[in-house]
Amino acid sequence: MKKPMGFAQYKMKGNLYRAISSDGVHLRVYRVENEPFGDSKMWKQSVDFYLKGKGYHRIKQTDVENGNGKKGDYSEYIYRFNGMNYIYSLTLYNDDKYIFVIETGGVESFFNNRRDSILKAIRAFKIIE
Amino acid sequence: MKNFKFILIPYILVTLFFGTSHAGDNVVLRYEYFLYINNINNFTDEVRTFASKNRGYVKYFSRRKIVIRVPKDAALDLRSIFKKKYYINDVRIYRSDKSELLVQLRTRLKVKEKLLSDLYKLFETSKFHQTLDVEGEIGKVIIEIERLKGKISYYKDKAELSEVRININKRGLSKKTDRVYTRFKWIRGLGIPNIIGQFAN
Repeated sequence: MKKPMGFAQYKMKGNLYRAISSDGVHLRVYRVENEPFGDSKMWKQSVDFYLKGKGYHRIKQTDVENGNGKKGDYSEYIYRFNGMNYIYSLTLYNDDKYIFVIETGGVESFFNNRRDSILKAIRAFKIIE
Repeated sequence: MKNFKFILIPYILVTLFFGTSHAGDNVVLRYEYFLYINNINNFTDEVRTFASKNRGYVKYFSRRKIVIRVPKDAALDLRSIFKKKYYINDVRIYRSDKSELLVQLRTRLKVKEKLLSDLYKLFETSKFHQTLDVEGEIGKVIIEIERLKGKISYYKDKAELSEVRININKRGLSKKTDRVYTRFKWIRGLGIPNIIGQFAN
């Protein structure tokens, strides 16, 4: 994963990639096993159902394509935390073996400033076999 | 008529000003916070110091909960401090206006005090066989007056000092989130608190 512009990268912890911007926008990338096996639609619905139940309101949903040409789902949610509005974005790419999860989150105004560089990094994300 | 208007308008403004400020004095405020705290001991000390510095006091404290009473302005300052320094999971504000109740209590007190002064006058002029009855009545009225004064003091004290309850590392009161469950562990790890919490470690 190439870090977005304006972000600092943490040391890798196993397959967990983390980065943070100066205004506190967090980025986290990891993979989980696709077990029990589900297609992208199923995982998208499961995640959406869970987050909505937790008080997240979806404000955006779009298809994205990564560096390998793989199609994924990008969704943004707004969430009230610490007395402020936060934007949380979740991108899922999955294949037969794994689900690749890219999460970002930050205060609404700061996230809006970083959105373009985050989306650029998500589209450039490559899965190396 | 014009002169009357010039007298009336300032009168209304003054009444409104003193009326609203008086009504604000009789509002009982209670704050309830649910905070994520890493270092509980430091946090407890900080809150206790804040209470004593701001002419308040600690009503109750344990490892998971602190209850303090501080003046209204200090309670608002505390809110700003929490927003800057800690993660607020949930916050509730309870507001109760005791103005009407206090007006009723004060009115009853005035009536009882008038009755007491009338009873004293009666006592002075009463015949011997009536003095015991009058004295009995005086005693009852005095008890009632003290009870009313006590209630008025109680509500005034409640209004002067706001109560702040701080729950440490406990979820908020929102019942909706408690019912959501998924059997997939990685989905349970999604969300803002988890992503920020992981970076804090």
